[in-house]
Amino acid sequence: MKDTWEDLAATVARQDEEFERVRRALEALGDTQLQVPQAFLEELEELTSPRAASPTPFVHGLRA
Amino acid sequence: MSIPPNSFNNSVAAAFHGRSDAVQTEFNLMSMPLTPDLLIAFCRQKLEGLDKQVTQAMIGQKTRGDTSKALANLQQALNLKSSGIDDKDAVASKAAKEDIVAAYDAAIAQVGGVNTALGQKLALELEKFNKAANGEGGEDRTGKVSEKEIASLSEGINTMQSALNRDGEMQMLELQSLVSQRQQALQLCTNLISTMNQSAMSVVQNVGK
Repeated sequence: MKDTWEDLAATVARQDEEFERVRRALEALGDTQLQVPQAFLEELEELTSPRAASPTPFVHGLRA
Repeated sequence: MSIPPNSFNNSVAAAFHGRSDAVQTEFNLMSMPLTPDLLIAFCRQKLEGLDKQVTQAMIGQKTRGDTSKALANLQQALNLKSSGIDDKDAVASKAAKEDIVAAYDAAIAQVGGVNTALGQKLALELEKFNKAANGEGGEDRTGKVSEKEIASLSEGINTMQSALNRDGEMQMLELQSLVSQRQQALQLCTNLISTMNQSAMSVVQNVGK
Protein backbone atom coordinates (compact mmCIF):
# COMPACT_ATOMS: atom_id res chain seq x y z
CA MET A 1 0.00 0.00 0.00
CA LYS A 2 1.23 3.47 -0.85
CA ASP A 3 2.20 5.70 2.07
CA THR A 4 0.48 9.04 2.32
CA TRP A 5 2.18 12.23 3.45
CA GLU A 6 0.44 11.84 6.84
CA ASP A 7 1.66 8.22 7.18
CA LEU A 8 5.23 9.35 6.66
CA ALA A 9 4.86 12.21 9.14
CA ALA A 10 3.59 9.67 11.71
CA THR A 11 6.55 7.37 10.95
CA VAL A 12 8.97 10.25 11.50
CA ALA A 13 7.26 11.02 14.83
CA ARG A 14 7.63 7.34 15.87
CA GLN A 15 11.29 7.45 14.86
CA ASP A 16 11.79 10.53 17.05
CA GLU A 17 10.33 8.60 20.00
CA GLU A 18 12.67 5.70 19.22
CA PHE A 19 15.66 8.05 19.20
CA GLU A 20 14.49 9.47 22.52
CA ARG A 21 14.51 5.93 23.98
CA VAL A 22 18.03 5.42 22.65
CA ARG A 23 19.10 8.73 24.14
CA ARG A 24 17.65 7.84 27.55
CA ALA A 25 19.29 4.41 27.49
CA LEU A 26 22.63 6.00 26.70
CA GLU A 27 22.20 8.66 29.36
CA ALA A 28 21.48 5.92 31.91
CA LEU A 29 25.00 4.64 31.33
CA GLY A 30 26.33 7.78 33.05
CA ASP A 31 30.03 8.52 32.55
CA THR A 32 30.88 5.02 31.37
CA GLN A 33 33.45 4.99 28.61
CA LEU A 34 31.90 3.21 25.64
CA GLN A 35 34.04 1.29 23.19
CA VAL A 36 32.12 2.09 20.05
CA PRO A 37 32.94 -0.19 17.13
CA GLN A 38 34.43 1.57 14.14
CA ALA A 39 31.99 -0.38 11.93
CA PHE A 40 29.03 1.29 13.68
CA LEU A 41 30.41 4.75 13.07
CA GLU A 42 31.18 4.04 9.46
CA GLU A 43 27.77 2.48 8.85
CA LEU A 44 25.99 5.40 10.52
CA GLU A 45 28.02 7.82 8.44
CA GLU A 46 27.04 5.97 5.28
CA LEU A 47 23.36 5.72 6.22
CA THR A 48 23.07 9.40 7.05
CA SER A 49 25.08 10.86 4.19
CA PRO A 50 22.94 12.66 1.62
CA ARG A 51 22.05 10.59 -1.41
CA ALA A 52 22.15 12.39 -4.73
CA ALA A 53 19.09 12.01 -6.93
CA SER A 54 19.53 9.79 -9.95
CA PRO A 55 20.23 11.88 -13.08
CA THR A 56 18.24 9.44 -15.21
CA PRO A 57 14.55 8.74 -14.72
CA PHE A 58 13.63 5.53 -12.95
CA VAL A 59 12.77 2.73 -15.35
CA HIS A 60 10.80 -0.16 -13.99
CA GLY A 61 12.30 -3.51 -14.91
CA LEU A 62 9.02 -5.42 -14.83
CA ARG A 63 6.52 -5.54 -17.60
CA ALA A 64 2.89 -6.54 -17.32
CA MET B 1 47.98 9.19 11.17
CA SER B 2 48.85 9.63 14.83
CA ILE B 3 46.92 12.15 16.89
CA PRO B 4 47.54 12.74 20.58
CA PRO B 5 44.77 11.12 22.67
CA ASN B 6 44.05 14.33 24.59
CA SER B 7 42.98 16.03 21.36
CA PHE B 8 40.26 13.41 20.86
CA ASN B 9 37.39 14.90 22.83
CA ASN B 10 38.15 18.41 21.60
CA SER B 11 38.13 17.21 18.03
CA VAL B 12 34.81 15.38 18.40
CA ALA B 13 33.25 18.29 20.28
CA ALA B 14 34.37 20.67 17.54
CA ALA B 15 32.83 18.39 14.94
CA PHE B 16 29.51 18.52 16.80
CA HIS B 17 29.58 22.28 16.46
CA GLY B 18 29.68 21.97 12.72
CA ARG B 19 33.37 22.27 11.94
CA SER B 20 33.86 20.12 8.89
CA ASP B 21 37.68 20.09 9.23
CA ALA B 22 37.30 18.37 12.55
CA VAL B 23 34.85 15.83 11.14
CA GLN B 24 37.56 14.49 8.88
CA THR B 25 39.92 13.66 11.74
CA GLU B 26 37.11 12.57 14.05
CA PHE B 27 36.69 9.19 12.38
CA ASN B 28 40.29 8.20 12.83
CA LEU B 29 39.83 8.73 16.52
CA MET B 30 36.47 7.08 17.00
CA SER B 31 37.81 3.62 17.80
CA MET B 32 38.74 5.13 21.15
CA PRO B 33 36.32 5.09 24.09
CA LEU B 34 33.42 7.58 23.94
CA THR B 35 31.26 8.94 26.71
CA PRO B 36 27.48 8.39 26.26
CA ASP B 37 27.01 12.18 25.92
CA LEU B 38 29.40 12.35 23.01
CA LEU B 39 27.86 9.31 21.37
CA ILE B 40 24.38 10.87 21.64
CA ALA B 41 25.68 14.13 20.19
CA PHE B 42 27.39 12.24 17.39
CA CYS B 43 24.21 10.28 16.50
CA ARG B 44 22.14 13.46 16.67
CA GLN B 45 24.54 15.37 14.43
CA LYS B 46 24.48 12.58 11.87
CA LEU B 47 20.66 12.43 11.90
CA GLU B 48 20.36 16.21 11.55
CA GLY B 49 21.47 16.10 7.93
CA LEU B 50 18.76 13.57 7.13
CA ASP B 51 16.20 15.52 9.13
CA LYS B 52 16.81 18.64 7.06
CA GLN B 53 16.17 16.67 3.87
CA VAL B 54 13.04 15.06 5.32
CA THR B 55 11.69 18.45 6.44
CA GLN B 56 12.38 19.98 3.04
CA ALA B 57 10.68 17.08 1.24
CA MET B 58 7.68 17.33 3.56
CA ILE B 59 7.32 21.06 2.96
CA GLY B 60 7.48 20.34 -0.78
CA GLN B 61 4.75 17.71 -0.46
CA LYS B 62 2.54 20.04 1.56
CA THR B 63 2.98 22.88 -0.95
CA ARG B 64 2.16 20.50 -3.78
CA GLY B 65 -0.97 19.36 -1.91
CA ASP B 66 -2.11 22.98 -1.42
CA THR B 67 -1.48 23.77 -5.09
CA SER B 68 -3.40 20.67 -6.13
CA LYS B 69 -6.31 21.79 -3.95
CA ALA B 70 -6.28 25.26 -5.54
CA LEU B 71 -6.34 23.73 -9.03
CA ALA B 72 -9.18 21.40 -7.99
CA ASN B 73 -11.18 24.42 -6.76
CA LEU B 74 -10.59 26.18 -10.08
CA GLN B 75 -11.61 23.02 -11.93
CA GLN B 76 -14.79 22.88 -9.86
CA ALA B 77 -15.59 26.52 -10.63
CA LEU B 78 -15.23 25.76 -14.35
CA ASN B 79 -17.27 22.56 -14.07
CA LEU B 80 -20.15 24.52 -12.52
CA LYS B 81 -20.34 26.42 -15.81
CA SER B 82 -19.61 23.43 -18.03
CA SER B 83 -22.57 24.26 -20.28
CA GLY B 84 -21.12 27.71 -20.94
CA ILE B 85 -22.06 31.22 -19.85
CA ASP B 86 -24.73 32.93 -21.88
CA ASP B 87 -25.67 36.60 -21.93
CA LYS B 88 -29.42 36.27 -21.47
CA ASP B 89 -29.28 37.50 -17.90
CA ALA B 90 -26.60 40.20 -17.75
CA VAL B 91 -26.37 40.17 -13.93
CA ALA B 92 -26.09 36.36 -13.68
CA SER B 93 -23.61 36.28 -16.54
CA LYS B 94 -21.43 38.93 -14.89
CA ALA B 95 -21.53 37.06 -11.56
CA ALA B 96 -20.62 33.74 -13.21
CA LYS B 97 -17.65 35.32 -14.99
CA GLU B 98 -16.49 37.00 -11.78
CA ASP B 99 -16.64 33.66 -9.94
CA ILE B 100 -14.36 32.06 -12.50
CA VAL B 101 -11.93 35.00 -12.53
CA ALA B 102 -11.81 34.87 -8.71
CA ALA B 103 -11.07 31.12 -8.84
CA TYR B 104 -8.21 31.75 -11.30
CA ASP B 105 -6.86 34.58 -9.12
CA ALA B 106 -6.99 32.35 -6.02
CA ALA B 107 -5.17 29.56 -7.83
CA ILE B 108 -2.49 31.98 -9.12
CA ALA B 109 -1.98 33.35 -5.61
CA GLN B 110 -1.75 29.81 -4.18
CA VAL B 111 0.96 28.72 -6.63
CA GLY B 112 3.10 31.74 -5.67
CA GLY B 113 1.97 34.42 -8.12
CA VAL B 114 2.54 35.06 -11.82
CA ASN B 115 6.30 34.88 -11.46
CA THR B 116 6.18 31.11 -10.98
CA ALA B 117 5.99 28.74 -13.96
CA LEU B 118 2.57 27.43 -12.97
CA GLY B 119 1.38 30.97 -12.17
CA GLN B 120 2.31 32.07 -15.68
CA LYS B 121 0.42 29.16 -17.23
CA LEU B 122 -2.65 29.99 -15.15
CA ALA B 123 -2.37 33.68 -16.08
CA LEU B 124 -2.37 32.72 -19.78
CA GLU B 125 -5.47 30.55 -19.24
CA LEU B 126 -7.15 33.44 -17.40
CA GLU B 127 -6.31 35.72 -20.33
CA LYS B 128 -8.00 33.24 -22.69
CA PHE B 129 -11.08 33.21 -20.47
CA ASN B 130 -11.17 37.03 -20.24
CA LYS B 131 -10.95 37.37 -24.02
CA ALA B 132 -13.88 35.02 -24.46
CA ALA B 133 -15.84 36.68 -21.65
CA ASN B 134 -15.25 40.18 -23.06
CA GLY B 135 -16.13 39.15 -26.59
CA GLU B 136 -12.60 39.72 -27.86
CA GLY B 137 -12.14 36.32 -29.42
CA GLY B 138 -13.47 32.82 -29.67
CA GLU B 139 -16.46 31.67 -31.63
CA ASP B 140 -18.49 34.80 -31.21
CA ARG B 141 -17.91 38.39 -30.15
CA THR B 142 -20.91 38.71 -27.89
CA GLY B 143 -19.25 37.96 -24.56
CA LYS B 144 -20.81 34.51 -24.33
CA VAL B 145 -18.46 31.78 -23.16
CA SER B 146 -19.30 28.60 -25.02
CA GLU B 147 -19.39 25.05 -23.67
CA LYS B 148 -16.41 24.27 -25.91
CA GLU B 149 -14.39 27.19 -24.52
CA ILE B 150 -15.08 26.12 -20.94
CA ALA B 151 -14.12 22.52 -21.83
CA SER B 152 -10.85 23.74 -23.34
CA LEU B 153 -10.02 25.77 -20.20
CA SER B 154 -10.93 22.79 -18.04
CA GLU B 155 -8.64 20.55 -20.07
CA GLY B 156 -5.81 23.05 -19.50
CA ILE B 157 -6.27 22.73 -15.73
CA ASN B 158 -6.40 18.94 -16.04
CA THR B 159 -3.03 18.93 -17.78
CA MET B 160 -1.51 21.09 -15.01
CA GLN B 161 -3.01 18.82 -12.35
CA SER B 162 -1.58 15.70 -14.05
CA ALA B 163 1.91 17.23 -14.22
CA LEU B 164 1.66 18.21 -10.57
CA ASN B 165 0.60 14.68 -9.60
CA ARG B 166 3.54 13.16 -11.48
CA ASP B 167 5.97 15.50 -9.67
CA GLY B 168 4.25 14.69 -6.40
CA GLU B 169 4.72 10.95 -6.91
CA MET B 170 8.43 11.45 -7.54
CA GLN B 171 8.73 13.64 -4.44
CA MET B 172 6.83 11.05 -2.42
CA LEU B 173 9.22 8.29 -3.50
CA GLU B 174 12.13 10.48 -2.46
CA LEU B 175 10.51 11.17 0.90
CA GLN B 176 9.80 7.46 1.46
CA SER B 177 13.42 6.67 0.71
CA LEU B 178 14.63 9.31 3.19
CA VAL B 179 12.32 8.07 5.95
CA SER B 180 13.49 4.51 5.31
CA GLN B 181 17.12 5.68 5.44
CA ARG B 182 16.38 7.39 8.75
CA GLN B 183 14.78 4.20 10.07
CA GLN B 184 17.88 2.18 9.22
CA ALA B 185 20.12 4.73 10.97
CA LEU B 186 17.94 4.61 14.10
CA GLN B 187 17.84 0.83 14.01
CA LEU B 188 21.61 0.82 13.95
CA CYS B 189 21.72 3.00 17.09
CA THR B 190 19.11 0.80 18.81
CA ASN B 191 21.10 -2.34 18.00
CA LEU B 192 24.26 -0.78 19.39
CA ILE B 193 22.57 0.07 22.68
CA SER B 194 21.11 -3.41 22.89
CA THR B 195 24.56 -4.96 22.34
CA MET B 196 26.09 -2.66 24.96
CA ASN B 197 23.41 -3.55 27.48
CA GLN B 198 23.97 -7.28 26.85
CA SER B 199 27.74 -6.82 27.30
CA ALA B 200 27.17 -4.92 30.53
CA MET B 201 24.88 -7.70 31.82
CA SER B 202 27.40 -10.44 31.02
CA VAL B 203 30.13 -8.48 32.84
CA VAL B 204 27.89 -8.18 35.89
CA GLN B 205 27.10 -11.93 35.76
CA ASN B 206 30.79 -12.84 35.47
CA VAL B 207 31.69 -10.60 38.38
CA GLY B 208 29.00 -12.33 40.45
CA LYS B 209 30.51 -15.82 39.88
